[in-house]
This record gives sequence, structure tokens and C-alpha cells, in this order.
Amino acid sequence: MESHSHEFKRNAARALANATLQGALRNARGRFVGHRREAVAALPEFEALRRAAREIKEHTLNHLDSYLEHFEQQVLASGGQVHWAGDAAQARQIVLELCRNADAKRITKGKSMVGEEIGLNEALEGAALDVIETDLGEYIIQLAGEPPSHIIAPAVHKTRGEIAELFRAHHRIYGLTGELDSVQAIVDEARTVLRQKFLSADLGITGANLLIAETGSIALVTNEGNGDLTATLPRVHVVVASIEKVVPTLEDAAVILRLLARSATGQEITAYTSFYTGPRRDSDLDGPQEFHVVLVDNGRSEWLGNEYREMLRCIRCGACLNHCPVYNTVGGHAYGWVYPGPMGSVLSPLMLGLPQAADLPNASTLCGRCEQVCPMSIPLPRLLRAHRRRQFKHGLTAARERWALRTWGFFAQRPRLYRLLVGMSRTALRVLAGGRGSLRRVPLAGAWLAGRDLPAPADASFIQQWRQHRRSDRT
Amino acid sequence: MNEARNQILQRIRAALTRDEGESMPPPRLGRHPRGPLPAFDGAALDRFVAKVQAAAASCELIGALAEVPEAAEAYLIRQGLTPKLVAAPALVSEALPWPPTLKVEYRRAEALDACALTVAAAGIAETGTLALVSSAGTPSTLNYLPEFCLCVVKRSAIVTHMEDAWDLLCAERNHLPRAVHFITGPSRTADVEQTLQLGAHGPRQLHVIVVTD
Repeated sequence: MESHSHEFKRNAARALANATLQGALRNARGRFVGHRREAVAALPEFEALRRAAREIKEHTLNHLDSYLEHFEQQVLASGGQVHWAGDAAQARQIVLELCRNADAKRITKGKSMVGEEIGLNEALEGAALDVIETDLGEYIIQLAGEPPSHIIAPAVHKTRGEIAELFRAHHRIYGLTGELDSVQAIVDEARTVLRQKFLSADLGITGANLLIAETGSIALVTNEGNGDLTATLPRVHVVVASIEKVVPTLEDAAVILRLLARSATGQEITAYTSFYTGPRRDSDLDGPQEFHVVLVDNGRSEWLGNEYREMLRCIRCGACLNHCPVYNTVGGHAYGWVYPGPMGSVLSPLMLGLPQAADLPNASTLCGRCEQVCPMSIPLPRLLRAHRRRQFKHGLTAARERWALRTWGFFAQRPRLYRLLVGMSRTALRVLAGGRGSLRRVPLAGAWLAGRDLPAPADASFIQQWRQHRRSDRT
Repeated sequence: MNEARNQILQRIRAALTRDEGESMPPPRLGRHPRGPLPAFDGAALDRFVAKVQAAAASCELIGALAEVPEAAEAYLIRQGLTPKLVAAPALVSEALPWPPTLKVEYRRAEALDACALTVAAAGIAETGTLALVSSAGTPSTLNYLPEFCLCVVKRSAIVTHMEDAWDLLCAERNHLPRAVHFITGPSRTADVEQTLQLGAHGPRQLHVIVVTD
């Protein structure tokens, strides 16, 4: 997918002015956050699971080569095949070739973020293949010709009316004439049309939430059952997965699964969690004849050795998006590429190059909620700051910002001077406030205060209050 | 392709500052250390039934496998379905006493089958989850294609956690079935305005029959 991450500011301004989008975001936000909170509160072991999951992932990353090799051996032993892709172009090439070898015309797909990352749909469509997304959210945005705006709820930005309109336009060829005036009518319409696609597909592509090294299995987590129909009905099943998805054992998978659903939708477990190991056995009555796993690196092996390594623990639950004040205000599309929110602001610059996504690491208040809710305890604010540091170092920061930071740095390194200046501005602001609790206007800060008030400063600075406190403590 | 494979592994070893060539033996395999297991009060069966129902599935308890036909027939009547079932071939050997009015075919599911009857290898009390394996006796299509799914599970196969289900299904961790499906309630989606709707692509209803014998 083409990236628009360099246009973040323009995209964000548009999103803020879009009343429909703002309504959709408001609706989703409360539900995601509330459901997760209830699920976590109901599980006293949540923090212990979080620690265990972090340990499992760190251990696996420390032995990533061994576990990937073992995974490969086990897939081969169960009759499947493994393909390694160094980058997105190689991954696309491999999948295209698998489609060609299978003489596939129609392809059904389960939702896959790495599929989005490597631009798989465009490549398949470019080869004149009939590709159909089968997760309802993905299907909706495929009809709309849009990228996902949320990693687990791709069409979260669309209203019921917009979806009904899309179906009316695209399903006329299937005989749809009536209104779709309820959620049930929309879901039934998609079910009917997509069922025919499932039954007639030659090849199915899914992602994988986890790869199990010990058994050569892939774990697939869905609520709709579309992933399982995709993995069961066509003659060929192709799994596209990034290399950091591997865990050693089925027990390790169980730990992460307990965190995944709770963090994503607030469920204890999704309706369907399936483990697939190889193609159909001789005696089986259904299942694909061929089973392929495409392992995608696309930069990950490099992060393993640098300051972004902890991002490789990410399990793509979406909790950081749901709890991010910036994501909840501008929505996923403003981020301009496939991964939005805090995790996207870390990943996109790594995958697209920092200059192409320069605004993203700055589109954060570093409030820290993302790290608090991350089931894998990824220090997202620290990783965003690492991007900012690199930007500053490589001269990617705007001249005015650099100048301001340098000036601030000058004073910050001279505490007496700093305190003197801060003291003077405090007095000035208190005079301006004239006894009121907040200020509407401050010279030179017109734009900043256009949408907010500035609280009037306290009587004494923090340092002064601290000293006073210590003095009174001693007496 | 081998080139890409070697390059990726090389980059990983370089990042881990490990020497070229031999990788370390994977240390966690062969042992199966369990993570923290969510504790719960009460009997596994009670928990299982409560969680199945909480996941929007229905559940009934019967005394013996021979009572399955009666329960299935009653279910079809309750749902207003035609008296037809596609059933797991694993049940053939049970010689269940089907009433003559009910048409039962033992095979995989096809597009037009309305109601399936299958057998779970285990039930998990923690989450009200069924563990179904793909096999000649229990093809996966039975779980996903029909709009209504009846699933039998023996009380003795109800375990407390997913880890116990793995021990029950494949203690040696080799020769896993092609598919192991952990199923919790009927198919669902919240992709339209975050509104929960049952029956997205899989069954609209899931009815669990626990055989307590």
C-alpha cells in the first residue's frame, strides 16, 4: 500500500473536521476500553501472565534462529512447506508464485496485518487474480478501496449507513435490491455473498497470530470463522507470517492467547482459536492438499540488534490504539499507512524510513497509557522518543523546533538562569491572569491557545514548594 | 529461496552477536513449562456449563450417549429445522438409536447442510471452550459450514485449562492432527459499529451436549 504518512498533519486536520468519523471514533473508543478493563479486572492473574509472556518472548527472541529452524523442520515433517522472504517484494513474489503453481483464479483471504504490510492484495489484483477479503471489516474496506483504520477492527471508521451504501453499490450484481437497515441485515448479506466465495476459492491465504516451534503449527485467532473456512475449504492454504510470531511451545501460546483476546476485544478467548499443522492427512475428509508458510523478515532481524528490539514482542492486539488520545482523536487513516496509533508510530518509520513518517513519532503526548495497557509491556513512549532523537540527530526536525530545543537545552543546563527565567515568566503570567484560574490569551501563543486555556501558574515553583516542604518536615 | 533463508538467519545471528553457522539448541523444547493458570472456584463441569452459556451457546446435560438422538431431535424441532443431520463419522460405531423420522448422514459437511452433529475431543472449563480435532471421524467442515452446530462432549473429557486439553489430545506433542479447533460459542462479528452480531461466517448457534455417563 502506498504510504501517506508524510502528510500526517494534513490528514489529521481533515479527520478532525470529519463529523461522521468523529462520531464513529467516539462510539468505538468507549467499548474497546470498557471491555478490556472489565476483562482485566476479572482476572487476578493478568499481571503474572504479562510477566510470563514478556519472558517467553524475550527468551524466544534470544534464540530466534534456533526456534525458526525448528519450526521449519516441523512444518516439513508434517508435510508442509516453508518459504523465507527477506523483504516485502520477495514475500509478494513467493505468494504470487504459489498462486501460479496452484493455477489459482479465486483467492479468499483472512485478515492479515503482515499481508497489508507487504501490499499483498495489490500484487494479487495486479496479477488479475480474484482476491476476496473474508473478515467482514476487511471486506468492507476492500469494497471501499481503503486501508484498515484499526488493526483489529479495520472498518471501525465506517458507519452502518456507509456500509449499507457500499453493499448496495457492490452487491447489485448478486441481486441485492432491498435496504439493509439493520446490523443483522448487513452481516447476513455479507455471509451469503462470501459463502459462495469460500466454496469456490482455489487458494486461501491467512496470517498467523503465533507460530509454534515445537509442533510446526500456526495459530489463527478469529471471531467470525472466516479464517477457518479459508484454511479448510480451498485446495491450497498459504500462511503469511512475520518471523517474530514464533513461540517455543503450545503452553507458551496459551499464555499469550490469554492476554491477546482480553487486550483486544475484552473476550477471555475468541470464538475460534485454531492450530493448523500441515496439509490434510490421508484419511482426512477435508482440509487443503497443500500447506505453505511464508516467513517474512522485512527489517525485523535488524531491529533485533538495535534499540527497537522490544517492538518485536508486539502481538497486534490494538490496545495501544484504543487507549491513545491521539488515535482516538484523528483515527487510523491519518497515520497514512497500515499500522496506526502508538505501535504504528514506532513501526511505520522503521519500515518506511524515518523521513517518510517524520510526524508520526511526534504525534504523541507521551502520556504513557499505551505502555500501561500493552500486554507485552512494550515501552512505546521510549521507542517514540528514540525516533525523535534520531530525527534530531539526522537533521530531520524542523529548523524552528531545533532552535527551540537548543535554546531550551542551553537554559536547562544552567539551573540558576533557568529558575530565574521561569520565576520571571511565572510572575508575568500571574499578572496576566489577574487572579483568574486560567488564561485565555498569552502573547506569542495564539495558535496554541486557540483550542485550550492555559492554567495560571501556582504561587511558588515546584522547587520552592519542595524546599519548603522539606524544611517543615525537619521542624 | 535458500539464499533468503540464509540471509535472514545470518542477520538474526549477527543481531544476537552469535557466531556464524551452528545455532544453539532450542532450550525450551521438550519441556512444557506452564505459565500462570487462571484459578477458579467450584467444579469443572459447573464452570464449563456456565462459560458455554456466557459465550452465547446453549448447553444441556444427558446421561448417556444413547440419549443423543432424542436430544438432537428435540433441538431440531425447537429450532424449526427439517429433520436432517450431517453427523461425525466417529459416531457410526456408537450405533445410536436414531428415530426413523430423522435423516442422518455420516460424512463431512457440504454447502447446503443446515445442522451438524459432531464430537469434541475435550471441553475446557476455564473458558467454556470445545476442543475439536480434524480427523476421518470428525472433519472440520462440520464445525464451520452448517448454520447450526450440535457438539457432544463427554464429562470425562472436560478439563480445567487449555494446557490440560493439549495433554489429553497429544501428550507427546508429535503427530498433531491437521487442525485443532478451540471453539467458544457461535460465530460472531462486531465489525459493524462495534455491535455484536452472531452468525458471521460460521454457525449462528452452537448447542453443547455434555454426556455425564
